[in-house]
Amino acid sequence: MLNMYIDTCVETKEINADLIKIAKKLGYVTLAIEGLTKYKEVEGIKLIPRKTYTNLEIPQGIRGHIKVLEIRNIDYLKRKTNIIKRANSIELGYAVLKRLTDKQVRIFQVTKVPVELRIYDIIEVARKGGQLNGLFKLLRYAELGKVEIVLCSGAKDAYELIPPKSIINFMLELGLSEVTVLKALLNVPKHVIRGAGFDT
Amino acid sequence: LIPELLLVVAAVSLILALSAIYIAFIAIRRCRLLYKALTSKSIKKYIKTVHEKRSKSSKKRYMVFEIIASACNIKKEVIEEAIKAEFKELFGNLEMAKANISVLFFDQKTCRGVIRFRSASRPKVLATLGLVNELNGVKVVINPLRVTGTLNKAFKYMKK
Repeated sequence: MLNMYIDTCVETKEINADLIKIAKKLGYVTLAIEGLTKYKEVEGIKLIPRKTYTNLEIPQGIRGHIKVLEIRNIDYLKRKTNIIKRANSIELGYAVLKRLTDKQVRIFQVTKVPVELRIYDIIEVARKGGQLNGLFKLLRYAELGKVEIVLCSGAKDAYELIPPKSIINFMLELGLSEVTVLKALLNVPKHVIRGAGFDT
Repeated sequence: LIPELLLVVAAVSLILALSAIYIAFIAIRRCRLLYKALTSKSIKKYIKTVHEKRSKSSKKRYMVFEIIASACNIKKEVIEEAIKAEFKELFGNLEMAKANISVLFFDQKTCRGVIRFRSASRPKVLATLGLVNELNGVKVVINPLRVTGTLNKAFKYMKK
């Protein structure tokens, strides 16, 4: 298996041997870990710090980690597009995944910031019986090449990492094309990491 | 006599030229018709249906998988149950019945095993495997390695 994949949203609290072993076996080369303070490289796997900002508060000029903006309420988007541009990627909350209008998706298109989609979040919304209208709208725009998406697991534990093959097939089942899925797994995460000042 | 002969030759050549033009015209027309037929909707539909039929064919596929865990003392029945439960939750009872999933073999030494399923539900099975996180209370990751058409090939890959 080629080791070339990137997971941009790992939320594990401790970096242990299990995480490295599993990531290596699954074919990951880079993991962006929430709460990590410094860049590390362990047994060939790059661990990049990542920080999630809520309520549209991203300070200017800060480097050294991937800046992710969590959007819980979509109404914020209208006014503060300049703040959105400071983020490396945007993370969408449950409420946003459920409902998203064309106008709101176009904001992502204008700002050109990639939208992060977590597989576990999608599954959880589906498990709770929620509709994924917002997600499908976003996927349609991604398929047309208007919005960039980043696919990641959202693992809270080393054993929650998802094999890239499973992510690809899961997204194929949701109606995305193979090209778009591979782009969202390989190319766009690379751009996000480079945008944060790290080499992939 | 010579002008009469020349007249005949001219008439014959004219007839030949006209017939050649006619044949060329018909040939071009036929080529155009053939090109249109090849790009027509009906042909495209036919190709699509053939593809769909192939994709819906009930051929068996065998997948070699690897379990990443602290200990691999897991029975194959437990793995099968966990995969089926996850599949059922994601895609429902009908899809599970169609997929016909069964774990044929699991080697506890190498932590590798073989799953059999219908080829039409390959992406669904692959998507499900990655989402199974627990087997008998033990945290695991199931890593799909390779899909093969025959059991022998699957066993060969398993031993590699």
